[in-house]
Amino acid sequence: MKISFSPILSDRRLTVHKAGESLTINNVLLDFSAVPEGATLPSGAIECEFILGPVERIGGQIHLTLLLPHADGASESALFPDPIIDPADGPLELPQ
Amino acid sequence: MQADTQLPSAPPLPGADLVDRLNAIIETLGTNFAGPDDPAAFAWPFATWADTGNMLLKRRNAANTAWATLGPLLDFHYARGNILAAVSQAAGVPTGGLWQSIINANGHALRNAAGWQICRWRTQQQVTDTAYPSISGMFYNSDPCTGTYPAEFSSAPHVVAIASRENGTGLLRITGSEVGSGTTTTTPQYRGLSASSTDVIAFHYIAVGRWFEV
Repeated sequence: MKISFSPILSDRRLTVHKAGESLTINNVLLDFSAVPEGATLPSGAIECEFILGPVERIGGQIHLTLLLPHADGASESALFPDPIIDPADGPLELPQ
Repeated sequence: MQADTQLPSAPPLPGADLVDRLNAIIETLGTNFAGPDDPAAFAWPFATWADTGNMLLKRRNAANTAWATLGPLLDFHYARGNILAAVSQAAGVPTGGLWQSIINANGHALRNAAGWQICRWRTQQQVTDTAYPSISGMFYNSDPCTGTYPAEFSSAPHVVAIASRENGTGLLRITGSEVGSGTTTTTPQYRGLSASSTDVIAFHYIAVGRWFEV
């Protein structure tokens, strides 16, 4: 799984928990295991305002982009975040 | 604290009592007689009183006969060091900086204490790889261009955007239009039109709106 981030100054809160090819985003479970190779799941089909753009499976790997809220004075890693590739199951450590 | 700021001149004044009295005097002076009761009996000309009864800062007049109000006790004063700071508000009243500048991977934003916010940047890129159905020789991007604002608006902003060719220069041949609404976090969706099926385009935008509602 490759998770990219799109930073935004916002009061929103984001928590992400990964389990296999499922993500629990702010307590909403989203299972991407059924997305076949080469397929694209449009963002409009996903009821989650934190997912931007389509969810795709490329080379067997799920690719998606999350809206990343940050506060004033956030770190460089939150302002210009790098993607997280193949994170371990469990709570995702988001750039602050 | 509002203690008597004068030490007695007549003995005796035991050491322990002196320490207690001095501590009380220091606290009283350090907090400008902070309290709700008029400390006139302990004050002198030009003494300062933090009147917590009505949250006003007051100064004793030259004749030591009355207090003059200087202003709100906890008012926020802007200076060079805090004009540029995180803006905030409570019921529309500014509680933070006057201007806040934000730069992140999604562009530049400027917020002010009045609640206005300006964002500028560009959408993601797309390729005009799809033949336009009713105009021969014209192509458009079937996947609309969209982008995330660098700072969230409190309501969808007004956006002015223009298509731009991102893979080089050349003839001005791209135009475009909004094909989907934006949100408080994302720009509207845009499609552009080009005579080439390989042009990479993005939309450069300026968005003006508010970061809190009045």
